[in-house]
This record gives sequence, structure tokens and C-alpha cells, in this order.
Amino acid sequence: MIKQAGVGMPSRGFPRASALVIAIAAAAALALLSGMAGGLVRIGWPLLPERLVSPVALHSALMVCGFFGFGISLERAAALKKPVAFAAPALAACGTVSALALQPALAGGFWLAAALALVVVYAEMLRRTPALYTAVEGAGALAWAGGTLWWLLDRPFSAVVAWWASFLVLTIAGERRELARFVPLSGRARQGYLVVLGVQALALLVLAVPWREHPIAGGFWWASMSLLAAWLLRYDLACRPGMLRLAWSLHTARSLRLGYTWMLLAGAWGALNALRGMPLDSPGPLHMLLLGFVFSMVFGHAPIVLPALLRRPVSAPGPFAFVPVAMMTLGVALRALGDASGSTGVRAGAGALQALAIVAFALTMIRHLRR
Amino acid sequence: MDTNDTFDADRRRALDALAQVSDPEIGESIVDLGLVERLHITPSAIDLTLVLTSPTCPMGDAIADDAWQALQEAFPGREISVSEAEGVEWDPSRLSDSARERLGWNDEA
Repeated sequence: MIKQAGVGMPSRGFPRASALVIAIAAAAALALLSGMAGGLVRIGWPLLPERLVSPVALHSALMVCGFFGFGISLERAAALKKPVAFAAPALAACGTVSALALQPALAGGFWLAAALALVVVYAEMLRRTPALYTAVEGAGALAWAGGTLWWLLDRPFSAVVAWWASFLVLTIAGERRELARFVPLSGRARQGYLVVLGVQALALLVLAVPWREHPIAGGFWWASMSLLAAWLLRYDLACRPGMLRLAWSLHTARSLRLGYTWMLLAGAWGALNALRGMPLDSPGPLHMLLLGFVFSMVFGHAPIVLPALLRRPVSAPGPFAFVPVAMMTLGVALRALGDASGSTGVRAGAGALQALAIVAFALTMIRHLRR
Repeated sequence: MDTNDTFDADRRRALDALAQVSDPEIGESIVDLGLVERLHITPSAIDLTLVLTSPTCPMGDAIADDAWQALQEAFPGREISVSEAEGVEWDPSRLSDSARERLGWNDEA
């Protein structure tokens, strides 16, 4: 039997101290729970009294900067093995605390600093090993910084959200391109990857130009999502036929394939919306991208990344391990139905199911990570 | 058994142990992926140098930990050290023939 990563000798990179691990988990959980609460209040669930509505306004910022920005910069800091690199997740956590203390401008400042610190981390990684995939992930960090800056400058939310979503998408695109080194890629496949990301980068740059709306760039931005998803469905390691996948690696492959499918559909829906003159940030395709694609990536990668980060082995998945992914899939489908039909009840039900899926997944991971 | 036989047997045992350690992202063993850069075996110690494939992922530390654990179990009592190869980059030519077959490199021909 092949041994999975996770058992360890004395640590050489990531801090193991349980107090620190608890602090890190608390920072991530705080951002995730407050971001989720904000999202649920927005779709009609009376979870918070009026004086505590800041998470509603900051829902997107908490999810992208507070949760994902924190998690991604923590992972990179652990890989770089330099204590100073942990400044990025620490600043992101400070941003979350500031947001929850009703200081959005301060939160934005911290998150911008965190994003720039992550850019510096990638620059150091590129200096050590120049590689396309690191550059793509670094471009993702720049998109995080750009989106946060547009948010601080009170620019149209469509520009903010496009840059923030590209932070997550480019990070994942870089990670998957890195793994694609292990399988043969034709010259056409390599060029296709660059063209797709080039389209997305160009659309982002146009969207950043102030003073007017950019519906065509918005359409191209969405189209680049579909094209990237098509590339991943065709060339990604998780989609490659004939490979032996068991236990969590099967779970990962299934989750990733679902995620790519959601991104394909979200991109098509967003591009279609752009043709009909609807804004880039209309909720249907946006939530399909962020909850369907991004959370499928989270659900797929967590059983691999968490044992490595926490230095704890993960026990084999039981028959219910895939249930949270199935719940999220159903939630995304229902949410699309609710968004498309304008049904508040369906949206609220779908949102609750998605929140439950995230909590169920967190509990599944806690149960499988052995002490 | 002469000294060379002992050395060969130890090396085989070490590689067999390391073949049980996989990169969980790819599902291939670190031996088949060509991550073993150097394996120095003496009667009292084993020194393993690994080529890690990703500068951006903390998985490398976990793989190194697993390799250390596998060698520790295969050679109880010996001092085991695992380090990262400096300045060596992974490339597909490091894949074993069987990994190349499984990952589809031979389909291209």
C-alpha cells in the first residue's frame, strides 16, 4: 500500500505548536463564518440584529480576503519556510478582525498589505525557481491587491469582484498547471493555456479603467472562465483517463471535475448575461463560480493539503465523505434556479444548503484528521 | 555475503521503503517520480536527498517527513536524515519507465 503524506518527524517549516494551529484555525473560521453569515443575511435569513450588519456589506471581502486570502498566503508561507512570509496571513487575519470591529477602511488597508506581502512571497519564489505556474499564481496575488485597492477606492463593484475572483481562479490555474507538468502536454495545449489566461488578464486591465462600464470586457472575462474550464476538463491531471484513483484521490478528482463543470457553466452564463447587457457581478454566474467552482476546489484539495499543513494523517474516507460535496452541488444548482427565476425562497433555501455543506465538510475533515 | 552484497541489499530495502511513500497530489511513489536525488547508506546512518517538485506547496515537507518515517521503520537504530536538494529542478526525464507509462508519456510517441 502506498503511504500517504502526513506522518512526521520534527517539523521543518510549518509551526506545529497546537496553540498556533488553534489561532490559525480560529482566524480562518472567523472569516469563513462571518462571511457565510453575511451571505445568508443578504438572501433573507434574519441571523443578525441590525447593529451587527457589517458582515453583510463585507460578505465578499470577508470571503475573498479574510478566508481565501488568509488560507492561500498561509499555504505559501509554509512552503517558503521563511518566518517573514507569515506576515501575509497575519495581516489578512488583522483585516478580518478589523472588519468585524466595524472598521472597513482599516480592514481594507490590512488586506491590501496582506496581498502585497503575498506578491513579495511569490517574487521570492520566482527568484528561486522561475516557472510559469508560479508567475500565474503571482498574477493571482496581484489581482487580490488590485481588487482590494479598487474596493478601497470605491470603484464599481463589478471591477472589484472580477479582480477578486481572478485572484482565486489564477491561483488555482497556476496550481493545476504545475501538476500538469507530470503529464504530457502538446504545444497546442500549452499555447491554449497562455491564450486563455491572456484573455482574462486583458479583460481585467480594461475593467480596471475607471469612469465607465466595460460590458465587452466583462463578457470576455466570463468567456475566459469557460475556456479555462474547458482546458482543465481536457488536460488536467484529475480528468486524465486511465489513472488509478482510490480513497481521497478519487474524492479529489471527482470534486475537481465537478468544479470545472461549474466554472464552464458559470462562464457561459456570465458571457450570455453580458450579451444581454447585464452587469458582470449579477449574482447567478458569480455564485456559481465562487461556490460551485472555488468551493469544489476547496473540498477536493483539503484532504490532501490539511494533513500536510497540520502534520496529521487523514483516515480513509467513509461512505458519507462525499455527502458535503453532493450537498454543495445541489445547493449551487438550486441557487442557479433561484437566481434565474428571481425566487427569494429558492435562493434562501439554496444558500442555507450551501452553508450547511461547508459546515458538514469542515466536520468531515475534523473527524478524519487523526490526532 | 560480502560488503557489496550488504550494500546492495540495504539500498534495495531503502528504495523499497521509499517506494511506499507517495505524492498524494499525483498518486505516484517518490521513487517513480524521480524525487530521490541521492541515497547515501552507511552501517550507522542513511542520508537521503530529495528533489521537491513545488516551490509554492507545503506538501514537500510532508513528503520528506514520510520518507524519513519509512526509512526509520525499515532501518531501526540507524540515524536517518532527509534533506532537500539545492539547485536541482525536477523535470519529466526523472520519471521511471513505469510512471511514464501510467501518466501517458508513452502515448505521445
